[in-house]
Amino acid sequence: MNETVEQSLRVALADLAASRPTNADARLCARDYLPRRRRRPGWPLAGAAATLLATGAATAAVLLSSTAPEAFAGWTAVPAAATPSALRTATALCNAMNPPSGRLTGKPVLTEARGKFVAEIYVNRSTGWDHVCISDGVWGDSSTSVGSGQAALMIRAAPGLDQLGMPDEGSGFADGFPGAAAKYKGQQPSWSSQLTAAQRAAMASSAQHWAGLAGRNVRSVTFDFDQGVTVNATVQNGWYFAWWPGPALPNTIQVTTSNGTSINSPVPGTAAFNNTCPNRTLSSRSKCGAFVTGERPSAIRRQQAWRRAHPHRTASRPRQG
Amino acid sequence: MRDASFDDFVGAHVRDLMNTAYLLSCDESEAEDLVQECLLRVARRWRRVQAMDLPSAYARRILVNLVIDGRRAQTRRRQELRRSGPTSPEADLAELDMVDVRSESAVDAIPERAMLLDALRRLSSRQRAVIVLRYFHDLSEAETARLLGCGVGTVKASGARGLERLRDIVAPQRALSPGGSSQLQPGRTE
Repeated sequence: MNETVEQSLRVALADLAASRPTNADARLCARDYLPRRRRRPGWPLAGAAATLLATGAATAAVLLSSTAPEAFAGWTAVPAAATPSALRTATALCNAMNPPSGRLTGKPVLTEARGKFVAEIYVNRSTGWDHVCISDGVWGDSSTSVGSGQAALMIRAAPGLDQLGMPDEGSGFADGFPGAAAKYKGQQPSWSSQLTAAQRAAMASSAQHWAGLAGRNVRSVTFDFDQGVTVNATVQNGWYFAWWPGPALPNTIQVTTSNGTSINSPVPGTAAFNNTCPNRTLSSRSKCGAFVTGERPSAIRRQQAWRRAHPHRTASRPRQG
Repeated sequence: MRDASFDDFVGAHVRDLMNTAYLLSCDESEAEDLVQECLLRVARRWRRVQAMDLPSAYARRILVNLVIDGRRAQTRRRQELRRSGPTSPEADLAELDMVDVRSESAVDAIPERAMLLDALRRLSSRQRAVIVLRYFHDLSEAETARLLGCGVGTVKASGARGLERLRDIVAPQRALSPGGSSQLQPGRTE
């Protein structure tokens, strides 16, 4: 009797597996899995960086014109490597502002320095949250910013080899609020709720940061602003990241891949981008300029489940933290 | 540069891994995420995995562990959520995971398949793993035990309990389902 049942089960399982839609197989084959190796820039790259640094002052001047210039003095459009001690200080300052759930632990996936400012991205694999920390390294009266979201890892579709994932955008600095780090220490979950509307508006316009996943062949990402101003992103360990002072948003984004191909892409959130990607449905994974849009299957599944469980709150479902 | 040998490995085994993940998770979307995570982990150790006798068995082991660990983590999150209440973003995520999600697909269009899928969902993750490895992959009890990292006795017990549970679930449903095929129908020997 048991043999009959077992044989029936074999047939039924094979039938069930055969009836599975196979769209996912092609998607999985096209993805980028192999880890990146860190590369030190050679002399030619270092020379190029020096040239770009020379133009950095002009870039900063344009971007800083709309905000408090003294707060971001020394900021550079071209990132450099951060020193270990500067990173340790930045981590400590950001942790002082973060609620416990957002503590920066382990090793950052991306680090950079722009003048005296150090930025880091930490990823908590168990929760799927990424945490961005930017700090000028001064305790008390610090230009320290923390941001977090889970869109890049948990919601957005993973980028292809030559693509960028849609960014987790953030804005705001604690700059201009003396003692912000100490004042809000230990307050949670959202210390920013303690601020007045005017303070929040001032913070939101003080600086912008963009972080997202980058395909393995992506070598450089450049943000183009008005008047020929450019800001270079850091591309490390499958992430891209840049921040700049002021409320300005880039006009275009240039992505250069390892085979030298350069794509000039519209910027997500702008009309130009929305015209390129008119049908951004939940399940689409269309290419939009250099970006892959759409969402991870698991995110779609969670959303559908959430909508079924909370029909009266469907419109207010938070997309990211 | 892509590693051609890894690409070949993915091309050759993605279907098998997806089938396994689908039967283990009973959900297409979750299966895709599981296989993606599995392939990422294999990629990280590709040089060592490549040198193994059976890289596919290693990948399958990772996949099965991901499913079992995922269920444990989900249970932990549920317990934490019940204790703390849904106040944080992490709790919100856990809240979503608590919802019983069933994707509607062509599979569900055939009652017998939907019935089996539903029955598999009701097994524990270890029972389901044993059932899939034993009866879909045709692994022996010893091979299944090695892959799951447990004893042969555990495999025997989990398999027997899983089979019994499947029969208990499917038989009453079959009785209520007129004109169904004979899949998993117990006790009808020729």
